[in-house]
Amino acid sequence: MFDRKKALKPEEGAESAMGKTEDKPATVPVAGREGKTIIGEQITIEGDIRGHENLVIEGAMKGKIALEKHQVTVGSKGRVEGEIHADNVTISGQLVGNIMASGKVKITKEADFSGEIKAKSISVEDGAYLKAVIELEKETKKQPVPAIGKAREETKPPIPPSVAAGKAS
Amino acid sequence: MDDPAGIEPSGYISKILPLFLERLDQQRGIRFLDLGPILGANIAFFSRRVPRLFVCDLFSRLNRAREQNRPPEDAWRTLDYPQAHFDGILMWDLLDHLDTDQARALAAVIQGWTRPRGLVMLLSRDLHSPQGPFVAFAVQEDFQLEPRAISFPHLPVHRRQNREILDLMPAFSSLKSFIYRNGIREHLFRLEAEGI
Repeated sequence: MFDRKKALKPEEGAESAMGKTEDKPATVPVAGREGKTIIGEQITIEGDIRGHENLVIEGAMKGKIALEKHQVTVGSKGRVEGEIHADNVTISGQLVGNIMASGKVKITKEADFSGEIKAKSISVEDGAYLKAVIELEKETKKQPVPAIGKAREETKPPIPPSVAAGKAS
Repeated sequence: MDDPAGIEPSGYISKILPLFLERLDQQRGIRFLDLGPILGANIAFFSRRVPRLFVCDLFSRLNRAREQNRPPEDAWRTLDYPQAHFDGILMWDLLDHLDTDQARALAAVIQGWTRPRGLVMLLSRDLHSPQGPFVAFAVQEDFQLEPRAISFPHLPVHRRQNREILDLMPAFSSLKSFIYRNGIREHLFRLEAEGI
């Protein structure tokens, strides 16, 4: 249905049991040596995508993308409307929808994003166009016995009291 | 983005921002809205301090509206934030780029988005500040605000006296303000319960 290009070059492909590189590109990803699918600029997709390799979108896509353990990239020409569930997500194009990432979300300055982001970490380049809600996974301290009646501690950087004081008018 | 060296106003350590966050920190599950230009440093700073960070660059929306000869109100008219939704809103110096009627209109919208007893932080420039290029501030870990020159060529500049700023926020009480040597004044407002 769409232009599916394997990024695996022969030298990057899965090796046979004999330890030799096979002539044709691998179609089954091997741990640590995964391929990627590219949805080209002239391609439009409506529907959901699930799978087990990385995805780059340079075309138009409407639907849910579920590649929980993989990388999803919306390239600078990409236009996506829908949800992205992935490990790491990079947005350089347009996305209207939500991102759920178990790893990192990267928004570049070319991005035009509107939606919610839930991730472990995020980096945003200055000048990106965003209307977003951002929720980062909190690193909780492991405490074997929670104190009864005591508010749960969250790991927030402390606010130095010295800077909170000041000459006010 | 330019190098901060030589950009006016110069960087400074904010007194009001830590107070703002300290007060918000006393509540649970806060919703915080940053209306400033999108700067990676600010998103990194606030996203680690508040559970739900809302970001919406009203400056670029205003700049875009003016560039397309649309009224400035278009910049916020389409924003669909619910009423009384936010515990804290960081406006930066938005009012400095609106005339009095527009500033009053935006202040009313901000009032609607703010929960009763919610906080709003605002910056304004001293009346005699130089009319240089637009400058945003990137928040550093020690609450140092470092200037970043951003190109918003269509944003006008309206300097106001302190009392004029207060007049624009009638439903809010001024908790604290602080003026710095670089001409920046920071304000912390709280929406009074009867303001809604």
